[in-house]
Amino acid sequence: MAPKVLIVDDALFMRMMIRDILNKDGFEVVGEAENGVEAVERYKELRPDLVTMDIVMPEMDGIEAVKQIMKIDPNAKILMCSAMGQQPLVVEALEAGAKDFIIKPFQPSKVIEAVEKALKG
Amino acid sequence: MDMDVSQYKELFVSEATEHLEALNQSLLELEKDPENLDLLTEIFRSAHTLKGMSATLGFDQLTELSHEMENVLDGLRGGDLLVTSEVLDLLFGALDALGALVKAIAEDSAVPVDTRPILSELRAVVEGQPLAPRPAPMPEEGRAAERKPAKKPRRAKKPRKEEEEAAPQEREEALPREEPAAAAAEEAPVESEAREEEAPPEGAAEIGEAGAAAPSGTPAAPLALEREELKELAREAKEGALPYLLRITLDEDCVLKSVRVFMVFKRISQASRIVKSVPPVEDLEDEKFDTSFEVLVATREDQQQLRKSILAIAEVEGVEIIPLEVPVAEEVAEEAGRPAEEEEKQQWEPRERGEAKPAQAAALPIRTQSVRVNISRLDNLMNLVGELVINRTRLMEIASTYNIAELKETLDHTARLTADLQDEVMKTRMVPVEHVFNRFPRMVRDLAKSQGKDVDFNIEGKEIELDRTILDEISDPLMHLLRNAVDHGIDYPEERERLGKPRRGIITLLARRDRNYVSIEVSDDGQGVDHERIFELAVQRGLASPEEKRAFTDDEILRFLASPGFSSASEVSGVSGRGVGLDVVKSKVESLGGMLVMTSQKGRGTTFAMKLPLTLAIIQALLVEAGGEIYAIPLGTVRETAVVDEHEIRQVQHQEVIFLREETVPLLRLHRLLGIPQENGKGSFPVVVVEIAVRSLAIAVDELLGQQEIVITSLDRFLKGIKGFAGATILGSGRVALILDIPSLL
Amino acid sequence: MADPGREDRELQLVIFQLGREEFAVDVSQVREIIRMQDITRMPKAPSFVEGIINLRGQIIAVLDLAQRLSLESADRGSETRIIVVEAGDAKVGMIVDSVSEVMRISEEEVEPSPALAADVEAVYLKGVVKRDNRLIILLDLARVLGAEEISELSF
Repeated sequence: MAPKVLIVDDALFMRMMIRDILNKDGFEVVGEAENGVEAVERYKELRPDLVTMDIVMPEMDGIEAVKQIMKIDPNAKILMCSAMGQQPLVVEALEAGAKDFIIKPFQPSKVIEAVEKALKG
Repeated sequence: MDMDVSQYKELFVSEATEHLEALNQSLLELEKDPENLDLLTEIFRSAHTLKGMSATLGFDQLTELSHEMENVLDGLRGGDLLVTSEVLDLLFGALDALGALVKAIAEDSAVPVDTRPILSELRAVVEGQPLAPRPAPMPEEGRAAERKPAKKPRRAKKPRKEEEEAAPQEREEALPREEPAAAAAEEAPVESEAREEEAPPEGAAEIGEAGAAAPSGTPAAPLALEREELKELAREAKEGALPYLLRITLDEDCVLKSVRVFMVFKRISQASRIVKSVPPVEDLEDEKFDTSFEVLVATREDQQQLRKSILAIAEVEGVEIIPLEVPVAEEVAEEAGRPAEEEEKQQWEPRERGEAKPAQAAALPIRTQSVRVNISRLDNLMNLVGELVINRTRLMEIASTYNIAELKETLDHTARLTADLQDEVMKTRMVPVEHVFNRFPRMVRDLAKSQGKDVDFNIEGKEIELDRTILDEISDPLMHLLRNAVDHGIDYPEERERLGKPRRGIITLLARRDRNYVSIEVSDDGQGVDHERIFELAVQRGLASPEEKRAFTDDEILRFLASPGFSSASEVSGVSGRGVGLDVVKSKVESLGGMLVMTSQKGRGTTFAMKLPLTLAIIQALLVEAGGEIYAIPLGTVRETAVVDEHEIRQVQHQEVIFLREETVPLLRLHRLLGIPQENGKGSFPVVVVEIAVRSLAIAVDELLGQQEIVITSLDRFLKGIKGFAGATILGSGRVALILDIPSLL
Repeated sequence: MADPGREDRELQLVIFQLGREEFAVDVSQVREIIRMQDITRMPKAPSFVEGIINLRGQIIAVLDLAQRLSLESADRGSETRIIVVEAGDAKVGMIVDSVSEVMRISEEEVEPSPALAADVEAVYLKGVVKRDNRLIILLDLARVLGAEEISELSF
């Protein structure tokens, strides 16, 4: 069975991009969320194998969302999506329990590598 | 296993360099005071110590040379030989050769140093033979361009050809022993790899921080271990955690490398202890490495397990695990028992060093209690303090917006603490200018001598302290100014005599503290700058028009002199009394947030003053508003502020001026300087009176917003070319304000 | 790890609007896209330099891309964006009217730009992409922000 992924990003085109990349490599995107609050809700409901999480979002940012999801499911596998220059935020997210991160703009091969490693690890 | 010299090399080089510097100093003093027996004794002792150290580590050439030098010194001490200029030259020559040898060791240089000529000269002196005629000094160009004359193989220049022929057999001495491959795999990679990339800590030894030598940008420092680290490894080993060197390679196109490093460290520290990394953590955090880095760990974890867990991180391409030898616990324990005054690096696996050790230990000079800190740590600390200051400012704004009394009180306290902290951090970075100044007497002496000039070189204010980074940066410009003073400032003795001056010229290098600045000045009592000639040249080069001819200020003359390429022509250096490269000096000083000021009197001499900020990064600034934007004016240049009424303004020669307590001060409007809209309809406006060089200028602004600490951020390459700004800063509100550089706006 | 884009030489373009034209830059050069924000003016700079901003502690220059390319631009509004691109060792922001999408195209779709394809000087163009009656102009960022132009910044 293909691993199930939840995509969280406030930008539609980013979500589309990630979805495309993942679909191409046989992952199943089970849902999308456009802010942290929605992400937490959808996580509870969908229990995906992996979440890709944008950091800067309205309502609730990605870091807070990681914290809340980790509370719900300590084994959650979350992959942060970050822009360049957000080192401190990425580190904060990793501290909060995120598994790994990918950098925008996305290179499909990197995304897949990170997703696969995160699912394994 | 064979004794591994390379393990001790760094310590040796740093010590030897210190001895050579001391020898250089003392010889210079001896030149002035040839009868001083105490000095001779001191010199003898230094040479002797050097010999002992060299012998201990099997550096035969060094041993032999310092031995011969010692013989000469012994002769001088016993009165068999006289302190003559020839003997001193010879001793200086020997020092240079020693310096070259030490440098070769430090750099693992394969270029051998031929010591035979100097050895035979030293022997000849001891045996009472007349000295051979001295070889001509090195060409002036190459000579003065040397950064550290004391260390360069002056004498080695001459017999270059022989050296190359002698290369094969001499080579071994200068190099650490090659080790059998297997042993090398165990411990050498650490050292050798680092060595390849890293130039040895040149210059650092002079600053007295050999341990902190690597500039922060250097990719890899040698993996020499502090005693603490060795102890830690030994301790860990006792508890079953074995030392490994992990070499981790990231994907070539990895972005946010620092965060990858963070993840790797996090993963490793789950079950292992991280003792050290190459490059150091600070550099890794700043992404100052290529694609791979090394981490020294002590772990109980299975190697394969460790590798696998690190490889599970995205963008980690490879993990190489190299088992290391366990440090000998007793050795380390013994080290621990030694007094804290030696905080030099302890080296790896010091086995079979039993007999040699005491000799070397005895050779170590006694030091004051101190800790060597890597300079990048201090940089880091400085940055953190900078951010703290920004945050404090931000908090203060919040407190005043919401008017929270309690918060304000606490913040006041925090403000004091932050200020103290900042102060302390600044102080730790300060070193006496002496560290750089001490290089110059020898250089000036040699240079003057080579040109047949008679120069008295004075140094004042050695004890003045300056930020270490700034000090390092101005070393070259200073050398430039001094060289110019000798080359073009001071006349030949005959010429001076003809002008009614003493034959011997005076060059003074002086440092002094001046409010928020340190002024470093180079003066000579030479020919001074020929204004007319320089004006002519300026006209020729299109920098001035012939109609402009008038009495130029020193400032304007300097601007001519320092325009790129102005004085590179040989005619200029000959006639103008000023040599090449002033443009370079000026821009270097300005890049450090300082300024270069020249005062000169024809026939009387010239002074160049570098006015430098005490520290980098953080400055006090006056915030002003003009045309709806906020600008910062560095407080160091601000004399006072005042409010001026439109009707108080007078015109003098098409220049607006105001009167401040009888003083006439030119008035410049910031709007006009910047070409921005001016606020209208105000009868009066504030002015900021700044001091540029020796002039005062009043700068009209729309509003004064107050004084504040700001952290300078330099502008990136897109904006660097735009004149008038020293950088930018982020205000408490998060907005960006430009920092005005008034001199370049004029 | 398979790179699905490798075989057919796929390009990903960030599409944005400026005046009446549609432009694109390669996504690999884009660091982020941010909303319009307060910009500190930079006196004495060429007119196309809008000023400087604080991008999370980093101070970067922001260019008015329309001015840079001598184009008309829409009024600044809620759609206005700053595209932060990496050029050499520095980051630069470019103000655009709006950003619409990321488009995948294959490299073959890029045609050499006809001389009069747009009101933009040909030197700034890498080519054009035609799709569903749209004409998308691919900008040569190196040229737009290129070395010879930057020296112009310093007069």
